[in-house]
Amino acid sequence: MLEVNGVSYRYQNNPWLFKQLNLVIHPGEVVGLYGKSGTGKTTLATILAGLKKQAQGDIKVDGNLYPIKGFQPVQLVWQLPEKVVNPKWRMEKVLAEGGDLDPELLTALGINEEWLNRYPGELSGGELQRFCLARALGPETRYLIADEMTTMLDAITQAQIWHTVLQLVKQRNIGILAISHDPHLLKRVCDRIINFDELVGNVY
Amino acid sequence: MIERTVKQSNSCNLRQRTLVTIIIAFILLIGIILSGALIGPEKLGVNLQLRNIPPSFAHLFGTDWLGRDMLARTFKGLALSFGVGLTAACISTIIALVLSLLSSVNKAMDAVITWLIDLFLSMPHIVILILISFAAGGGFKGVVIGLALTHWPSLTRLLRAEVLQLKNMNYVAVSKSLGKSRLWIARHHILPHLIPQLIVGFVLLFPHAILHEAAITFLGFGLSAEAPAIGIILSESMRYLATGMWWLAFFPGLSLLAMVGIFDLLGRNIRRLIDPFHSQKL
Repeated sequence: MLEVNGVSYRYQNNPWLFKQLNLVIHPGEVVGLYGKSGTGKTTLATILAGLKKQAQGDIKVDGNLYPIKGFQPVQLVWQLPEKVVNPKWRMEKVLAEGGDLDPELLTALGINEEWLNRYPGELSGGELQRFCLARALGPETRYLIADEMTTMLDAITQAQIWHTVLQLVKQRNIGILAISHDPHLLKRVCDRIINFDELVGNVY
Repeated sequence: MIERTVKQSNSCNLRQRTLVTIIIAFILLIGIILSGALIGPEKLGVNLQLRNIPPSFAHLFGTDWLGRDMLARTFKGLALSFGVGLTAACISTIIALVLSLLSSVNKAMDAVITWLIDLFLSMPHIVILILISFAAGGGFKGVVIGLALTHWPSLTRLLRAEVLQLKNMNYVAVSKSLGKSRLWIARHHILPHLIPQLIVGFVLLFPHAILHEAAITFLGFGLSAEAPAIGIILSESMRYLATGMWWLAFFPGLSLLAMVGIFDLLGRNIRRLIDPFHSQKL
């Protein structure tokens, strides 16, 4: 269970972005999160992935309190894949960074064998995003934060990728927080949907 | 397909030109150094019968007041300068790399290193160079220590900025969340991005180091008077210039300038080839 208890965050000297935020994600559950731009959804995502430290409150994943050393059991898939792969690495190395990946996972995500030898600049955004997703789905990953994961993809690819992800979620009992602006997508893939503005507004 | 071939032939031409320039510069430098190394002591000897000869076919750079062949002395001096420059530039580059990586550890470390850079940059170069090489005992060792300890700041500043930018990249954050250690990230994510800057910085340090070596030797704080260094040649020839022996200073000075120029050319062309901001154009 990924538990967020009373987490607050603010950027230096700015007003609170969100305050006393509570959220629970169970294993195997797909939770949708939508809200206006610039309200802190991505910031919440980076905090959950252990990349930023919250100002107040605590986060627990399967009973372990943040910060967690080493491999983060909560992995984030970013909106822009170009920014999260080292441009000097071949895709092979990018994948290897995520640990020992299941070859079946790569096939399921539609990753072509040929692409492994290429550099990130030689792949399209959609192709890169598959790699980022594969890298984030290492054997130790318990929760996945999908921050606008498929926004840059066309409808068909979007459907393909979500199909694979949802299958995997069932198989491996992974919990997902899907952040998106697209209500139709969320309705389609999520078990429950949360409005971020309400989630933040709850406290006031 | 057509577009691709056109693009390839274009990029090849520019790339080839840069490569050819690099190779020519490299061969010239190797030539200078080899000829310097191959010149034995018999060529540098005193020959009082051949004193003060202006440039001729037998002695292309003329001879000095002791009948020594200036061509041999000049090349020996350039080889010596190269040795000094190589050692000093190597050490300087290593210092710059280590300091720039250390500056990424935390804010306090960064502040200390920035302060060190500012400190060294705020003092006149030649003054601390003389001070350090004098304190280190002068001679070859003193000059190398002096040059190595004074030429790292600008490269460090460049590398530090680069490291700072790299360590805030999202892929470094991802690497951390995938459980990679600081050292692993420095080695695999940051270092490969620094290598172009490192190589170019190293080559461009050469002319600086060589000129400064000649400068402090000229002023009498560097290499010992017996060494056939360019700085020594120039400072000795000062006394004979008034008597009309222009070739004593002209050819060694010109050769030094040429070597520095070739190094600069080499550095700039290597940068064009491997620096991500320049290589995209090729």
